[in-house]
Amino acid sequence: MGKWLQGIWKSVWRIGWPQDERSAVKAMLSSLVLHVHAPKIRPESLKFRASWAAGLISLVLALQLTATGIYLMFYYIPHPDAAWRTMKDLAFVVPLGTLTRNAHRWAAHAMVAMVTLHMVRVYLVSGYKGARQANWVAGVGLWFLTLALSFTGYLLPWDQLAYWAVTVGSNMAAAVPFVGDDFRQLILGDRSVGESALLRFYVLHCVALPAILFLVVGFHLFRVRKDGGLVVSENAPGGGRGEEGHKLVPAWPHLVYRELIVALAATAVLLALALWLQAPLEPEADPSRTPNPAKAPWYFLGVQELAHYSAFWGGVFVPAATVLGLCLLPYMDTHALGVGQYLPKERRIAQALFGLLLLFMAVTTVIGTLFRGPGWALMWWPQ
Amino acid sequence: MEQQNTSRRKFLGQIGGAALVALSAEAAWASLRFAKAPVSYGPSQRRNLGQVGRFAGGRVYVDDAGLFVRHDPKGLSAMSSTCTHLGCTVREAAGGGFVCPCHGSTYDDQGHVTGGPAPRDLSFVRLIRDARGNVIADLAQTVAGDTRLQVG
Amino acid sequence: MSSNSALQSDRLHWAFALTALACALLFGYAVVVDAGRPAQVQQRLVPALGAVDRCELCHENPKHHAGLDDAHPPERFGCTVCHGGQGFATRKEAAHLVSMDWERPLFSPAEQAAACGRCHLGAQAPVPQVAKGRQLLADKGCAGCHAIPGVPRPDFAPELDGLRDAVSPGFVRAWLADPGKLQASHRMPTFRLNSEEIEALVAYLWSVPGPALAPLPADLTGDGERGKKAVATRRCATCHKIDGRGGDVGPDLALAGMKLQPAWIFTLLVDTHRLRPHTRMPGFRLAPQEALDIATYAGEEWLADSGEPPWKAYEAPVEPTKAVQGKKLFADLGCAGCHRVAGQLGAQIAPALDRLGDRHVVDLPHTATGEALPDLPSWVARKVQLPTAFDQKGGAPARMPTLPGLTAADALAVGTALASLRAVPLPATLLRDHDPPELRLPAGQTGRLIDRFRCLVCHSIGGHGGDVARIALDGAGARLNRAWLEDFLQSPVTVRMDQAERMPILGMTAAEAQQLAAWLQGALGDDRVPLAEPATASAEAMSHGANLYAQLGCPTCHMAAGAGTMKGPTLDGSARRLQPGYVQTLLSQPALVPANRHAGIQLSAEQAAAVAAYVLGLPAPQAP
Repeated sequence: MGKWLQGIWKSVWRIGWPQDERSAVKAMLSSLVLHVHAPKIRPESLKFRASWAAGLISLVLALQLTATGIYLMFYYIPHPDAAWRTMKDLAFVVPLGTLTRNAHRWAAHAMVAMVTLHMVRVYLVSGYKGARQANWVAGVGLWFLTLALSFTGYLLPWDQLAYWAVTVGSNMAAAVPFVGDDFRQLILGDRSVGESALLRFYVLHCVALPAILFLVVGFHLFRVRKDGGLVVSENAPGGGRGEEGHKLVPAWPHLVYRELIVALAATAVLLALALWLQAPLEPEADPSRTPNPAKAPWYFLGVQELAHYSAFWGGVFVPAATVLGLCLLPYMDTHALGVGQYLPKERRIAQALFGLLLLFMAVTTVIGTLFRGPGWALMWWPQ
Repeated sequence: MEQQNTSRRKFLGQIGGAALVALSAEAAWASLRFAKAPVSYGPSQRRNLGQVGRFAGGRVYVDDAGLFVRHDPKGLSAMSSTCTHLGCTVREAAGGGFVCPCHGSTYDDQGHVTGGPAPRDLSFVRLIRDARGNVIADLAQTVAGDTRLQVG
Repeated sequence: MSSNSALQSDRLHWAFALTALACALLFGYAVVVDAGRPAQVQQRLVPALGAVDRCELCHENPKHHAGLDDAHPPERFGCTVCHGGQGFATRKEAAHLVSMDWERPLFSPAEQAAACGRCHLGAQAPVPQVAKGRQLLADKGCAGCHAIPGVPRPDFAPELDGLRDAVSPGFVRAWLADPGKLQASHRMPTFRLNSEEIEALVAYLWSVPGPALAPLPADLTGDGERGKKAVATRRCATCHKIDGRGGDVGPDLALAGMKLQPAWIFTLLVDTHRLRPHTRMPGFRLAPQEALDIATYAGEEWLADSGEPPWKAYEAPVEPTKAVQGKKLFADLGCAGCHRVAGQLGAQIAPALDRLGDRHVVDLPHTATGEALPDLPSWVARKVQLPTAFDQKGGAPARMPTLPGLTAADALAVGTALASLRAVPLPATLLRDHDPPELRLPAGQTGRLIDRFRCLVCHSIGGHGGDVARIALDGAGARLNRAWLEDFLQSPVTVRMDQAERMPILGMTAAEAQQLAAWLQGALGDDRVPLAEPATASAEAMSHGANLYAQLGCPTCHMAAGAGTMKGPTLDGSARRLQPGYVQTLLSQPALVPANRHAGIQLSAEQAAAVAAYVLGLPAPQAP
């Protein structure tokens, strides 16, 4: 009987439960999922400081968002007459509807934060240099896709918050010179946010953007492995390009086990958030009643704050220049000093500039989120 | 000492593994519960067929309820037009009786099966009258074929 | 699991066990907590009203007010359209109260009445609060400044052309400062003006020319005594108060006599509609002598005891330089919303109220005192009772004037009526317009006569017109004989002695009376009344009728053959006044003319014929 069961196990997993280092390597190589990792890795990359687990948590969140999103799609109807009603059904009658919506909402916010954090970390350790140039650009693309997914999802509840955030957000797009209005109509499918926009956002959010995201994630992970795994300091013991003779550890169980724990911890935190923190919902979208102030989602409020000064310079030029600059960064900053260190002497100016950029983004976002009241007037007390 | 460590670690691993099995079971159960919609936005099972006078002409087909309503001396009866084989809507046959267009089941005028794969006779649904004299059909309740709603 | 021993640390094992347990427990907890949700929820779906109502989860067999049930079955209306609250909710507090995502909690009684008013349109809607509010919106002239669906622009404010010919500047100043001091029952609201603003308005009004006054005939002299008699015989008191007694359709003659120049009064009397085209006063046909007598009487009679009018202190020359400023102020205050100048009403300067009911009380300004107003009708009530209640320190003061004579109950009715104005349209099949259909008056000579004599100021037809005459003109053609009508229009006799309001003596010519009588008879018939020949009854039938007349107690109200009282019309000679078919029908169908107090008297056809024969056989009284 036991042998028979073992036979079934092997028929699926090809090998038995790894008993030694050799079979552990084999296990890593013969599994579809696990072979995204090298069978043996440097021990430094297991340390928390090496990754902050930010990329992994981003991926875990993406998977959780996919799962909860599929559940929500069973009830959601992408039409202005019904969309908000389905939020009410989730809140009042669908079993676990509240939990599912809360989890989806908080995971979406967390993913924006974690992807950004991941990018900050990779910048700090110069993870965009050498072979990793293209993967950094892919990462910038993933950051952009995450924002786009979050933004498209923001409209779907069809409440006042959603409607006006997207109205404001799409009007920022209209500030693009020459093609702005066309671009906005392309997104909305109409002159204003309505049933066409809702359907477009729904299809983008549920089909097009996730499909692209996971394709790029596949490329991103593949290149992480091919480009030598995590960036570790040249000065660390056994660091750098992994010369012959220094000690590597098998990914099974050291890495896989840790990843499982991180995924479980992230799930537990998300469950707790979803249980005790309600996702916001406002009255049904009403095109004739503009809330004051009408605000975009929090991660766009920095841009909205800038757009308040100039629709073009703040709303278009600065964000476009930021994304373009991030994409060009690996091809402009190519010297290989200080790779793998957080605060190397050689990169003081670069780190300071990056720090200033982050500070600027943080400050404008905080001002836009907390210190802007009715009529976008400055308020000295947070709302 | 090493032995103790190993067994403790094994035990913790088993606890975690069991928790994961429990989590999977919970998720499966929750998915089933989630998927079973507790409210219906479909049309009501109670259909207003209108006033009795409408059925004076013997047998009348009410298409939004899918019912053949017959007015005979004993009263009103409502026969479902749903074939008992696979649920297609039967039609009145040229030579009397009913025929199902999907797999050729045939029924006589009283709804008794006369041929084809249909396993049962056509069903009859309960009729009631509301305070304003309208005839209401309750599609959720079937009754015997000889049940009649007395009308004055 | 031996390869796990490669993990030479307990920490990871603990972390795995604890995180996995945490997930399993949290998820299990979520499933358990969620099990409290109802497994099956019955809901009332009314797609046309957007209602998804789950109220019956707790409220079994919802009770309705008796009488409403039949017309408002829950299958057709759901619950929340009338009662408010959140139909989606399956928990009490979410269903009943306001929350971040739900702004309409259960309706207060006023809000419920307003909800009725969404379907029941018109000032005669069978919802007392709403009907009263809509009536007040019209009576108070709210539509002078606000566009309000279903409320007509006010037509009662005097035209202001040539005001300088009619009154003194002192009167206008005193009036603008506080109309209540001059006339207790005034309709003009108070605008809280300072003396500079008043001066500017007077300067502007004095710059507006009016129609030329008719010259006083030099060869005639007025006689106050004759004038006093003329005012009495012409029955001016039907519309005007004289010495505190009389109607209130027109202004109190005491104030009018004191404030108006005799030359202007003379012109008004002889050429009414040239001087004031939109006045409600009929165009009397008066000889110059009679008009001069009345003007003289007005000038003599109502001088104050002191010989000085109460606005004496306000008299001072007008400063014409302020007219430009006054014109702007006149427009800004919206004076022209009610008062015509050069025949035109001005724009409605205040916000349109067509979707006021969509506003939520939480979004509206707070009172300066921070008073909590529970619902929209109360908010509006506060605003109309005390427009300055919402003025904030340092902000612009309210422009809305203070309305006179508005009780708290009136104000709440106004708020209720306005709260029924929502933008979201309800299905047309649910709407009920309780206003009478539009009245089409004849054109040509008849139409001009109806206009000249302002018939509809006192009489009503098809629900339109005034209520000074108690019985509407509808069906008058079936009730009254044409010959009697012609006489009556030329020299109206009093039919109903118990009524203070009596038809004024307008001075119609015979041709005019014939024209109007023909129209009344031809256009205002009644399907229920047969055309019958004058009865020629046997003496037997007559005495049977006389017995019945006495038995039924007719003399309790009617005077006939020297017996009875004057509560109802005198019946001697009624064959000349009344049509036989009408008398018979009225006696057997008392609801024929509801306002004539015949309710409770319902005879069989045979009895009705006998009584009608008796009544119509009564001889006319001998002329003394």
